[in-house]
Amino acid sequence: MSASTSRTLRRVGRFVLIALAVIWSVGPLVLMYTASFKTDDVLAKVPPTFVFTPTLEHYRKLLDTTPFVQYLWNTLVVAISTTVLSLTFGALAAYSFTRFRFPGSDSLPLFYLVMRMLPRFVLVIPYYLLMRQIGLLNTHSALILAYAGFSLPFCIWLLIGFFKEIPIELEEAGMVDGANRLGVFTRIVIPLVAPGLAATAIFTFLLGWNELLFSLVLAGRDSRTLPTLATSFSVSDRGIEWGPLNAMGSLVLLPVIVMALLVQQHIVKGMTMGAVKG
Amino acid sequence: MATSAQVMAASARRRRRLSDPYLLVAPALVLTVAIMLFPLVYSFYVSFLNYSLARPNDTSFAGIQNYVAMATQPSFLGALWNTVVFTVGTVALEFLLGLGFALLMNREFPGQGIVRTCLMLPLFLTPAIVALEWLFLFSPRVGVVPWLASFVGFPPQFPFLADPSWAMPALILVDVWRSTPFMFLILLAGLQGLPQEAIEAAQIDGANGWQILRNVTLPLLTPLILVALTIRGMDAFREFDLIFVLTQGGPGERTQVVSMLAYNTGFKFYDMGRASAMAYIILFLVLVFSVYFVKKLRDMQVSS
Repeated sequence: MSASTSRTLRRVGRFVLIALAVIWSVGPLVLMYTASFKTDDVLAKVPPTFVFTPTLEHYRKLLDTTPFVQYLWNTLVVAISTTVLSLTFGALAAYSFTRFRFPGSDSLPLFYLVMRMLPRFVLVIPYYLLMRQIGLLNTHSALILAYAGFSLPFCIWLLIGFFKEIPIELEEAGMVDGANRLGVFTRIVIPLVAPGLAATAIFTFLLGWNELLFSLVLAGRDSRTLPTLATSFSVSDRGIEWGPLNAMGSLVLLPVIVMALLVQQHIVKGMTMGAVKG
Repeated sequence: MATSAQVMAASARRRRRLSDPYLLVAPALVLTVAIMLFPLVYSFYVSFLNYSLARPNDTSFAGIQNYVAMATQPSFLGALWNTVVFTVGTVALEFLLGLGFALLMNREFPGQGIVRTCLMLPLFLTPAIVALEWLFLFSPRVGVVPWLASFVGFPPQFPFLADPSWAMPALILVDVWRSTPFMFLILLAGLQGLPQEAIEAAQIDGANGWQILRNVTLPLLTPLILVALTIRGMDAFREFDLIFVLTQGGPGERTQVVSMLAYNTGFKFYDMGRASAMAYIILFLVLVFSVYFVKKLRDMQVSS
């Protein structure tokens, strides 16, 4: 076998492996999105077919028979409020950690790192008991507070990474030109860090959009979020309705996929909160 | 008078400047103390009480009874074992598959950007919905997985999630699908940051691809691999969403992990004292793990 055929073989092998990796990663999503447009008869066919006349009946059924719209509203209120809250508090703290040396400027970020590691089911029991005592169960506020708790450490660490990338000389130049700290912060730092803030906002929003456990325990009929609706499918006793299930999955994941495309270049930083340079 | 006023104004300004960093940190710190530290302390207190919502009038002191009761019940050891199997199984498979993906993507080819986007996508997706989607894929009647499995010797319409010995491997498969991108992206970032000289030197010495991977690439990536394994390990250790939607810990208790057990103790049997004790036992295990991780991370940042 000549060197060039073995090179061609290797290239074909690589191509096949890459194709398999792509099928493995997006195949389940493709099956879900196509299934959501299939009639029940087509949906029952195994192996799945990709040639069919699409129908919107499952989407109609989802919107008519489940509280999808109410839960969507709850999710948006909670996720957006959480994002605004943790981003504001997180940006101030992260700025302070990266620009000042003070007792605590080293240990507090580590404290937040440990807070990020806390398993959520350790907090869910005291949250339930405390929120019950102050009458916050079944409210949006309960979820916003609980979500902000675990989002804030994440925001702080991500933003520390973004703030560190801004050369401090620019701020010093601003100070020399007579601007005060607040002026420097709003007119020099914020515009420079805006892409980082946007990426952090999207990651934080997704944390809230995706959260299940707290919503399951702390929310009631008026405040439950979309992931909770997923559990009502899995435990329904009249047999699972695959059509509406796939329609629901398709709708919930749509904004997630769009946002994933927007922040994908920051993802390594988001996963490790800047612990690994990406 | 004028000068002393100036001095006072100057010192006030200096004091304000000194307090600046604390002012900026204060809102975050107040929030964290109020909604994380305080509930943690409260829950520690509850873990020493007889506190069941089924018997609301009895909140007497229980000593370490809750801890003893949790740690000695057979479900606890079972759950701990299931958690370890799930964690080790997912993290090991995700590492191998993620490394494979990273090596594939470490060479340029047309369409690389789109392929990279496809490979990382599952990581972002809502876990509860991912679970729902796989509930569909595993469905004996209409699912793709039992159909594919029938080609490798499984009986037709095999109910993976309801089978005592296959439910755990099925859960591991779902987590591997969702979390492999985590390993893949970290390892890819690591591979792309490697010094090219070391690899070129090995090539000149006549090493083949496998030898370079084993003797040059992996040793250079060891610190990074440790961080990735640790973060992923801690996330897998507390996995709840996938398991809650797919099996609820069943069949029997075959996929009951520690987070499911804590949830069930608290919100199925309403025993808040024992659930808190359970949470603290797990917290202790995770804390030992995360202190080790933070130390490792610090060493790495010092050395880089």
